Amino acid sequence: MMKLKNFNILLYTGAIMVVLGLLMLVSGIFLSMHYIPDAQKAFESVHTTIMQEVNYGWLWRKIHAVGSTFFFLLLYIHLLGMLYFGFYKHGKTKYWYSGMVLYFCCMVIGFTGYVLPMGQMSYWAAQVITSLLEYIPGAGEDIVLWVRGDFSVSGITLLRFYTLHIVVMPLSIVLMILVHTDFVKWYATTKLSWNRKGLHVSKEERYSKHDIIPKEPKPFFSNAVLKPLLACTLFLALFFYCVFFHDYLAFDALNFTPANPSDTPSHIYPEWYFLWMLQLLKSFFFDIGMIKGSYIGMASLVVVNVGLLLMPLIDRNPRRIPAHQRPYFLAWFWALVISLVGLTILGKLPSSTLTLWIGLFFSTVLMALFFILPFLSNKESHAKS
Amino acid sequence: MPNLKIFAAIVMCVFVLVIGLEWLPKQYTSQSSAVVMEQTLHVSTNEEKVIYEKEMSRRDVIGYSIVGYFLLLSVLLYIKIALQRFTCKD
Amino acid sequence: MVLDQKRDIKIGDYYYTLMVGICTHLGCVPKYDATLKRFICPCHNGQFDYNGNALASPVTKPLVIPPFKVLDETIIVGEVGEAYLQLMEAAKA
Repeated sequence: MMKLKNFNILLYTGAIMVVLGLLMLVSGIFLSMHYIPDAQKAFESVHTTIMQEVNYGWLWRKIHAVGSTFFFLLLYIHLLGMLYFGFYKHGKTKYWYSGMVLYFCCMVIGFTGYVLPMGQMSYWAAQVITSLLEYIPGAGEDIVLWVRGDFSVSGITLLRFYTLHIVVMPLSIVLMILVHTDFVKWYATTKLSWNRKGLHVSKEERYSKHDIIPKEPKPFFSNAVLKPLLACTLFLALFFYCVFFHDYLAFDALNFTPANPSDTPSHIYPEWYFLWMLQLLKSFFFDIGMIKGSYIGMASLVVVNVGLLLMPLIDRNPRRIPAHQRPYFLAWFWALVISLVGLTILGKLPSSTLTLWIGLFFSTVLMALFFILPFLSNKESHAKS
Repeated sequence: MPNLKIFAAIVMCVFVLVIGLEWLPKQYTSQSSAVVMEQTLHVSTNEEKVIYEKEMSRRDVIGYSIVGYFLLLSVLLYIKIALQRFTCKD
Repeated sequence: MVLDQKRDIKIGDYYYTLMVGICTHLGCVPKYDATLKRFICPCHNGQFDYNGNALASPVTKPLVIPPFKVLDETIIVGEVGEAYLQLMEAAKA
């Protein structure tokens, strides 16, 4: 059996995400033909009309739900993979920043989408998350009222979340993908420009006085197409296996109960890809002096997200080398992964003394990682200069 | 870090996540929910059960066909890539 | 039971506390535990005493008392009455 050269999942997460994104778009279109964005009718439109009455409605809904789970899984693999190989450093910072914008857009689309079926989990997740905005200093209460459109999550909130989910976010994501994959620059790189030598040549060659000898062009087809295509077909086999035989991975039992605004479930949690953030918020269960625990939790969430966004600035080692060639960064990376996985698992477990203390440990580690990275990476760059 | 090591690390993390998010919560809470109670209140007739079983097996067949289709496509693509490399080397 | 001057009103021979059952932390609905005589929020374990005063983190503000009016032995929620104004003044003091 011949071994494929460079057949690495990390090279193809992007392509697979594009394919999955198209599947989500198509399944979303079919769902939106039958979904009713009204607080009283939404639950029935999903669980009766789409799941039981519409031909293959159950298939479109399962593709859409399982698709979002797999999309976030690939997104995290992609993000952590790029972090591992230092693909946020000089020359690649724009990909990192556009990727982080995509990450935030995906979080919004994932959150708004989960609210739409108006099950118990959908309603209370929306209630809790929108309430968080109240803690923004200054205009917090006004912002909450503006986002919800009402004093609590209601039909008005559902309608605007629906608009965000099917119009605003898909458009933003498509635009950002075009930026992130350099598609907006592809046109320029295939035309000769900048002294008629093209953008794909090196700086020295571009500004040299001599004509450049054209290199033997590599065929686009087969090199850039077949291997990603193979990765996509393998992924789609796994994806449809989960859609048909393991769809419980994407559905929570409590969301099969219609939303009841006067009955809060004993254990609320969001979809798995937000669990680490929820746990981060819950982790600081005591006050430190004058500062309330809930504020520290929110601050830690901001620190981690902003820290991830500003990785190009925080990592002071200028060399773009993989983590296994940087012992300190390797330890840092695995501490990050283990903290994220740990917090995700803890987020779903019911609160107990043990989970609170373990959660506090992982949350502190996660927050501290972004404060120590500048010093850690500085120590490295001196050693490797 | 060779490709297989990266793949193994990712699979390991996903496995830990699946165990932690599916199996572990079940050890803490008993899965008695209102949904289960609702289902036992309505007793389905034999006819309904037969129709349900037929529909489930139909869905299973569709599932196996689609998964099989993508696996076959993967095998064919693999052969195409291997042949291309083989002919290029000549 | 201790009467809370800032939270309780007297109607006839009984004392009442009127509160909006929405947790002041993130908007969930606290449930009353009769053995502990406390309202406990299922979301983040915020606790209020039977008068709605905040007891443990993460809650810091008491359960909101809505405007109300007492007419003989009827409580009308939504209209401002003397009893409500008295409670608000006592709370400010």
